[in-house]
Amino acid sequence: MINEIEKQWIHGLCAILISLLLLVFSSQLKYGGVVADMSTRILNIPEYPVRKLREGIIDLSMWFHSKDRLYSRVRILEEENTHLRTKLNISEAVSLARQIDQSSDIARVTFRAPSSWWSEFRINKGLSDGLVPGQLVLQDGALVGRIAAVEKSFSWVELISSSSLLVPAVVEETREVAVVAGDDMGDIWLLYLPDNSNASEGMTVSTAIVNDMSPPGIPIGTISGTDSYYLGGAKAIPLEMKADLSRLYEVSAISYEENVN
Amino acid sequence: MSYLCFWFLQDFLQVFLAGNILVPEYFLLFLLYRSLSTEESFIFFLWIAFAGGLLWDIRWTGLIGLTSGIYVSGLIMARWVWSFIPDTGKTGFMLSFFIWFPIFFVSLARLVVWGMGRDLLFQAFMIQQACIIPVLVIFAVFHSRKVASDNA
Repeated sequence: MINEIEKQWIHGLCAILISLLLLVFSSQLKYGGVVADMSTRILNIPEYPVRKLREGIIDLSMWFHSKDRLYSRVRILEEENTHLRTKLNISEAVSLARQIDQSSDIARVTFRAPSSWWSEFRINKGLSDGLVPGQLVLQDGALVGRIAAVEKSFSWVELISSSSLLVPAVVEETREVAVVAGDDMGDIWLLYLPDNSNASEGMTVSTAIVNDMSPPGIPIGTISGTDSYYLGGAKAIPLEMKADLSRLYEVSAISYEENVN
Repeated sequence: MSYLCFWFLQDFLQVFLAGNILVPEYFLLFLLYRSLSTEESFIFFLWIAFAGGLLWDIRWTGLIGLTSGIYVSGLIMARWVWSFIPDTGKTGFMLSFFIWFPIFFVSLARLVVWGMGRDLLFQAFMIQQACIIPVLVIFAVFHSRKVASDNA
């Protein structure tokens, strides 16, 4: 009689032996492929949900991946777009600047020092462009100053808000002649009006004919108050400037001869 | 029935992971646990291991007889060595070691058959071991509780 342990050994060795025989001869078995196919077909049924779950997870992962790729592609395209727009804007700006430079009428403001902000600025036209000292400088038809110094390719313009620039002016409504001067702080004043002047708030002030360089009728501003002040010992009435000195980018220089022509 | 469940668990994992990692040998793990921790007939476990391994070979490896032979061998070796351990030494930790050790060798055998790059093999092996260890811990806890309740 064999005991339980021996039985276990015999069964175990039998199982191993069968396994080895199968391993060696399975490729030669006539129905090996059929059995494998059948088992695969049967096991495919319970495995179906797992397979579908796997496919779903892969699809989801691919979807996230493709979306991520799409986002990164959009970001790259946006950057490219911004870059191209910037390039386009720069080339447009350069072309515009060239046009302005080539134009005989318009001069660009190229420098305005903070220390003399309300007194002077530099433009990119000079002697070679036919400018001479004393010519009036306009912004959109309104007086902003007068050319003080001219070099070959640039000029310095003295602003109307400068205290050293005195411009002969006339009150259009009353035809009273006076002088416009600045205070170096961005404001302009009408000086030397007679005490019995009829000038009042809202009346227009423009240049008066005094010499060849200062043609008459160029708008300077309007009277903004009737209260009189004293500026450098002279009675002064505040004016509101027509030109915008805070947005001074382009100006044009004008001489009396040109105006007449 | 529970053996079938563990076989299918392993099979589903194989389907789900589609050969990207070495699938954890949950079927053998459960067989080892049952054969070492219960008094059921060992011959029954042997033929269950043989059948499960054979089915696995037919379904996945194509080398019919390889897994069944490895499973049966692992089971016999574990049971044989386990029989030398005195009853007082058959703790949860010892049981988990005796379950893990044959699985370790089965995994090595699979790595040999698998044939991938060394780095990928190592990665796949480590993931497989990481999946096995939590289950081993659970079985060890079960066994410890069983031993404690038997001694009470």
